[in-house]
Amino acid sequence: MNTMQVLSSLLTSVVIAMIHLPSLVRKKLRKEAAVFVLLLAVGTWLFLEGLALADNLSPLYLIKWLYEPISQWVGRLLPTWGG
Amino acid sequence: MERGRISTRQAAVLIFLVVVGESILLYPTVLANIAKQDAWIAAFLGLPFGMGQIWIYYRLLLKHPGKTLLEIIEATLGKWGGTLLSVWYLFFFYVTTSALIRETGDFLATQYFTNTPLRAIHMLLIALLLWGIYCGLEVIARTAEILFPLLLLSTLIIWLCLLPQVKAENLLPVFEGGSLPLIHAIMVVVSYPFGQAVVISMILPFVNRQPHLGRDIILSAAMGGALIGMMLLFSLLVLGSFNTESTIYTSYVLAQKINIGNFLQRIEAMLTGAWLISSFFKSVLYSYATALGTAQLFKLKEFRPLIFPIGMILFGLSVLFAPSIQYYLFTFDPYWTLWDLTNGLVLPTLLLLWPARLINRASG
Repeated sequence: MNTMQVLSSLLTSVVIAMIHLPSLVRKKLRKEAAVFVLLLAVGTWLFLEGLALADNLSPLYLIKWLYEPISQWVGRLLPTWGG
Repeated sequence: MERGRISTRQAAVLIFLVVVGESILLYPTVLANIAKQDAWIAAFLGLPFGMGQIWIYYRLLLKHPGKTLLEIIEATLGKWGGTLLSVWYLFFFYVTTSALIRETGDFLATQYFTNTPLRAIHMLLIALLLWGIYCGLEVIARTAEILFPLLLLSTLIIWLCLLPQVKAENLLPVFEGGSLPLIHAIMVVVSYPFGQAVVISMILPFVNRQPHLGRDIILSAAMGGALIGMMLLFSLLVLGSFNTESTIYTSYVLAQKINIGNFLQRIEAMLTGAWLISSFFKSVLYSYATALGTAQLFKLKEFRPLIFPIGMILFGLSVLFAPSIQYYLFTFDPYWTLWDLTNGLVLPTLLLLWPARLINRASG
């Protein structure tokens, strides 16, 4: 990832925060504001990784790891299973 | 949190669109890879199982009136177990939404906008989705009602125009591979178009209660399953099993084959239109469930402020989702089947069978 990508993702999240955060704080919706900031932080990170086209962060790897044993078991029963 | 209410007819249309979803394009390839020329038998044999699944979601709603899936989970399993399972389902919603965006993006970037970067297409799709969930469920349902006849019309026209090229011998020999590939293909039918329809249990509580809601949604889901089954049957009849399984966007290639008197040609854009309608509504419902579910997990009063951060997450996930189309369509396929089966069939069934006395203890 280069500086341009970091800057653009930070800028996007700052703009989004400036649009929504003040009204949440004004209405004293503290929990909403906290969740908003949390999601925005995760969002900024994933947005940046997406802009940089990272190829080792796929959520599917986690699912694959989780289902590997049962998939191998089913694979022994069904010849077309693959995996 | 959601004040809008939708009618039974709108719910039926939405469920039809969720079942058809992006399957209208990818389903023939996936099933023909498993069961070859018998894939259409599996597609229709799987229908009763799929209807059973929708019946389970409906029974869940009757057992917990007015509650969405995540609220049902919380009421059933209590605070800690409920949170854990809710996070599991939210992860499923996030990943499936990004999968739908990626599938649409990959298709448009390879077939139509070949010089446009994938990320630009994703950005536009996500802007559309965010707009949809910002407008709320009522607007989504009414738009679906307007666009639904268009989808039916274009699929019907494509089927009619394909009739001259149908070759019945493409379906022979029947049962060449025996019963095991058929069982596998039925598992895929149950898991992929119908299992992903679990998202409807996030919107069913907002449907006006009418006595025939259950019958309507089960029938419309079956009709959706029949539509993609017919698409698969036409792919096999016209292209044959080898071409069906070795092309990624089979229905698209199928529509390109249409040629009536060297005059009526290249009407595959109609299929693209139909496919964009159905996959848009599937992804908008999934992103709606994602936003609503996130707000319900944290017990917030309002989900609309969270829309933009969720859009950023979806953008990132849709790019990171998989290294290539080959990976998510073929390499990952067995795990995808199991994951959808867990979320669409096993967990809802367990939630339905969970004894009532344990529910009272957990929530009391």
